[in-house]
Amino acid sequence: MSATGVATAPRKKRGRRVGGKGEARFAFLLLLPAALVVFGVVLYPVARTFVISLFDVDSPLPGSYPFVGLSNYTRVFHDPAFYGVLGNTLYFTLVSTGAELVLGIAVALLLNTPLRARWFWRSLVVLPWALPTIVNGALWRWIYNGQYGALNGLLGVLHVSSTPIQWLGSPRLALNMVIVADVWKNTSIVVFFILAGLQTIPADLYEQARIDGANAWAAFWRLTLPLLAPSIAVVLVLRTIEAFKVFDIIYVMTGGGPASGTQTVAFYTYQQAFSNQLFGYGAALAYLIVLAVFALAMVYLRMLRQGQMAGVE
Amino acid sequence: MLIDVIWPAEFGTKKIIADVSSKWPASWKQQMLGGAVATPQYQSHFYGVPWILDTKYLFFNTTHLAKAKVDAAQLDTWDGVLKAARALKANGVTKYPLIWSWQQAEALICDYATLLGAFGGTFLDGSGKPAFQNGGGVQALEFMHQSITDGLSNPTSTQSLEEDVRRVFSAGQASMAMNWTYMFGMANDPKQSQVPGQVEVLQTPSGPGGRPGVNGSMALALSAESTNQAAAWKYITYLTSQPVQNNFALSSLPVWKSSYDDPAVVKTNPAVVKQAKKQLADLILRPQVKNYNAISQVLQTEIQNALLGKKSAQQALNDAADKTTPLLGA
Repeated sequence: MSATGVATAPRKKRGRRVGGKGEARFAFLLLLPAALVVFGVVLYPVARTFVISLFDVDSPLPGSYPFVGLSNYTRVFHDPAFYGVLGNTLYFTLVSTGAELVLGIAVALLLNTPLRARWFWRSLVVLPWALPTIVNGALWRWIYNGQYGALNGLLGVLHVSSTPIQWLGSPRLALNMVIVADVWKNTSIVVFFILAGLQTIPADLYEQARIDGANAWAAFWRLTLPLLAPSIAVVLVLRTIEAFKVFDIIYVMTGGGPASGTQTVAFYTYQQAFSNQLFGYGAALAYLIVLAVFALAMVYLRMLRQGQMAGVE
Repeated sequence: MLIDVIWPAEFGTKKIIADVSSKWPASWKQQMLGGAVATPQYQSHFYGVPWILDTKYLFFNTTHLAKAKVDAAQLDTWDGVLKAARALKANGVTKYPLIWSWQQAEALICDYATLLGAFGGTFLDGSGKPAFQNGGGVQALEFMHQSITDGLSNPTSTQSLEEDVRRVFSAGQASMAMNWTYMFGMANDPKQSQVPGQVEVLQTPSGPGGRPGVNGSMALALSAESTNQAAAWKYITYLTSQPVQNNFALSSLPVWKSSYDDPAVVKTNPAVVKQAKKQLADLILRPQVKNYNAISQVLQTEIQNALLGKKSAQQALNDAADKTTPLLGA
């Protein structure tokens, strides 16, 4: 006992010091559950997916499957359907992210002005974002319905169009309408980021700009926008990554149709892996998505670091 | 496990579900309806026992037909259906008399299968190669596209699933529709429909090739990995036994032929049972191949290309045949 007591006391003292071994061990123990969870639900599945992508796995059952090396990856690039879905995905990503950014900045600027009941408008902006994507998709599917949808009803009431428009009836129009549904939901998150960025800009900078003769437009371009650059960079890349992975809203609204016009890479991956049970090929497709997202994340981190350095300077 | 009719080929060949051919009493083949026997079968092997039989029927609105002075007997053939649709449209009863579930989904293949059968086509030929691009398969797709072009089928059909069809029909915005059995009860339910009491059901209309209904049944199967196969088989035979199925006939029609003459079963849903007795004995299967889903996805896209007028029916099906040939050979 005494030996233990003697041995423990100095350790306790060392443990209180910042960076001591005891504290490090304690920190390690505290982090261990989270690390195990991260390993279990992120690292292991990512590694396992890569292993599966090297085999011709065509069944959910465990067992031995032929090793095919990188041929699942080369197959992706020889798959004509893949280029179609990649084109849809890039279009979706570019247009939805661009629209969300422009709208998000506009709404954030509006909400940053001394509006009456500003808290109410700010809360209202949260609502679309708070909706689960599945609910949002179902909601817009109803709105767009060519027979009983609210959008055609509204256009009829406003005497804009008495002929019902099949909003999800042709490939390109359907993709654009899905983008509108996505923009309606995800502009909120852009507004939050930009609004937070706007709050950090000191009001006296605008005062100085006004004294220097800058009008509102010049102040926005030369002052607001450059100072918002770090926030814009962060939200832009986050939204780009999310848009590139789009799946659920497509699944609910169009099922990839009409004529595969709204099929995206993630949706195609799901079909290959789970409907067609081509788990090896699906894993290769999934891994390519991971690589694309990883590359975007690197861009994000680089932009963030540059933004921070610019802030320090 | 409960599996849809499209899965026995794939699950059976991959040994996900057990081959139960040796457990299948020979008498069942005579005692069950033809469509039921075919449901869990692949290459003469049985991979389950049929349970929850279903096919698509033609539903029509009696009030609409009366307004347009259309005799329901006319709906016995697809030609008659089109003629009725023209009369309904001309009389202003419904803008689009027909609504279908032609969204890019399995529902589209179910409707196409019905029409392909009616026009005398087959999905595959005797050697397992695509045959839908010939004869009846092309005529079926031309029929579908023409009905949209002529304004007889609602253009929303290409974005609709079965539930969309039910909503439009139940709102009185369509006079005729193909759908599964469940629509009869819901479209006649005043709480869920604006046309209760006006809904009748018929066997699928006939064409030059007959009137097969699409097989949309399911089967109870045994997991090949199960360590309790004997107990699972006992439970399956209990659930699919005639007395138990007769008791639950209102929810799901029995697989046994003689049940359809049992007054207790008939009275659960007289209108449907009368048609089901005929229709469930004459069903068309979607291709029983091990990678059916991949083939179905190609067909869905190409059929939609034709429905949207992006390709001719022949071109779309030729393209589908080109794309599915390697899948079928795999």
